Amino acid sequence: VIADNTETPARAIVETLDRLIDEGERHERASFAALVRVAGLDPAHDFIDAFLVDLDFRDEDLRGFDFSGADLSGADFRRANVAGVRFEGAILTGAIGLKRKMLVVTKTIGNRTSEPEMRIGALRIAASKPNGYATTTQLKDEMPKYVDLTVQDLASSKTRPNEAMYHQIIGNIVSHQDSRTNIFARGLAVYTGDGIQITDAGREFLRRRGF
Amino acid sequence: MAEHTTFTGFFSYASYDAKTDPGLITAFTTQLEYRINAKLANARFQIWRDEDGLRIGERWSDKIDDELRRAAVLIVLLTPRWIESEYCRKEFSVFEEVEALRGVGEYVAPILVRPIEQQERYLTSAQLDVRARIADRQYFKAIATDFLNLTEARRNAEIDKVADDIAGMIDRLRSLPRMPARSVIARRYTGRRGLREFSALAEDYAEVDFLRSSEVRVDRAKNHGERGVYAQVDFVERLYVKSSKAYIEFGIRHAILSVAAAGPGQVRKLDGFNVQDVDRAAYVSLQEFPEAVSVAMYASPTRGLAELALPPTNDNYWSQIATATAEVRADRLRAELRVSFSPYGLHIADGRSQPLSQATKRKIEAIIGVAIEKNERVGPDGRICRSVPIGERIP
Repeated sequence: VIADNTETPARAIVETLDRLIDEGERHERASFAALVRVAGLDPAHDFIDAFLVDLDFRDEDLRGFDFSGADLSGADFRRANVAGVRFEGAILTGAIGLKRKMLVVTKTIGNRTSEPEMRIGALRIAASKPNGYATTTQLKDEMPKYVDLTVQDLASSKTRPNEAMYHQIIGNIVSHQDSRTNIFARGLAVYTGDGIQITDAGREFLRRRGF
Repeated sequence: MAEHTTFTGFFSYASYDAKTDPGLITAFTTQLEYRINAKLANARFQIWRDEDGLRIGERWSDKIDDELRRAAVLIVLLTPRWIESEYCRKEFSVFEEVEALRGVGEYVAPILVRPIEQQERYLTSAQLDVRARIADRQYFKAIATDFLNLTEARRNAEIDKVADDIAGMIDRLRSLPRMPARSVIARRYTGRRGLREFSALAEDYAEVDFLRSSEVRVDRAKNHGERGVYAQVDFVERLYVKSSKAYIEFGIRHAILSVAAAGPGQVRKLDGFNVQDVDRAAYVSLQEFPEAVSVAMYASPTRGLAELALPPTNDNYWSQIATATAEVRADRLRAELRVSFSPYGLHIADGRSQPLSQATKRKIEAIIGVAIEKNERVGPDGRICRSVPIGERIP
């Protein structure tokens, strides 16, 4: 349901701002997680795709946050507890303090490569093609060059014996699964009918991730 | 044996402070250098400071300029004499340019060794300007009289805190991809800092809506041919929320306008629209509205989305964003606008007892940005979504 919401919700924001200032003044280094609680936000949902550039997360306990798709450029995670924190599709250019093994949440239970990790691979494949256009077949054929696929990814599909397990994920990417964070909803690529075409926003996304 | 990259820290200080407290110079050059190096693997750190009297008189030294431009980090020994020195202020300004080209992160480590507040009223406008720019950063407090009286262990612990932050800056430099295109990083810089100044033109979020006007128009049907679909969106460029404790400014980071035919006929992309101004607008595809032609609007580097958010076509007010087939009826078109907010800066009311650190302010800005979006959400996909009025365009 789309509504014309012209009544500004400023009062709630004023109250939230005051609570945040009070919390900030109570501690020399106010914790991000504590401020989020004070603001009444949900760490598991509200920070997906959020703009969190240059934030100082040192020594924080961030367990329970989902930073998928967030812009975390320049953020400092040294000594932060990020066990289980989701970073799929996040922009981490210049972010420090994240150990590689912490980021291996992208390999799911069952040691399969996650869809967000493969989305980046798909964008990179498209970016390498003339006009930024890659067919679904090209995505399937070239994904192993761009993503570190596991044995489980390369195993044959139980339902489609002629396909590898990771082909199913590519199928999901191209057929618009998982609406909130997919590459089309975020303007990173355009669906062409038989594949994807990377947009300028998609190329910028890759550049900012260092690709 | 592994090759080591060497990173340099430029030590900016007033000569008078070095003569007054040489122990401070040793602590924040030699000892700091040791402690930073102890934290690095396969990299080395060295501090460069002018020991040859290059900074005498008003003539800017090429050697100083070169050292600043190749420095990884600027370490500032912040005192009233440092603020007073035109040379020191220029060192800071030149390094700000170096830092800007990196795009992300901060690479200045100010160490406050003498209080400045008492002298602020005597500072010139140029000195106050630099004072404000450096106060905006995270700094270490090591007031000379206290610091030099600490036990050796406590003093080492304090130096180690500075070392830890500088080691973090070096980590960030090592992790950054090799120099992205200059235009990209310059855009990020201006986008981040250029917007942080407060604007006298900001409007009260309690009084106005962020959307000043929005409309889609379609050419009247004629001769069964394709017709133009035009649109324009005017946003309030800056909004503020003010409480008794603080004031925060924010604006629209990006927006997506989607138009689709709800009845017979089709709305189609316009050949060539993408190349009109790719930095301002481009076609995107929305999963939640796949049948629509959707145009994303991006804020310019130095300001949020404002009036004429869509690049006007042929110097007109309207921007042609699509075409409609002959069967399309204006009253059967559907248009929606989705937006994302971005905070520009937080000001704490005067007279508050406890000043907030810059790191805390940034966290509050980011959280308020998320809270505003959550408060405004009305679309089923969790995004701020408004319906846009549609009418016929009369030539």
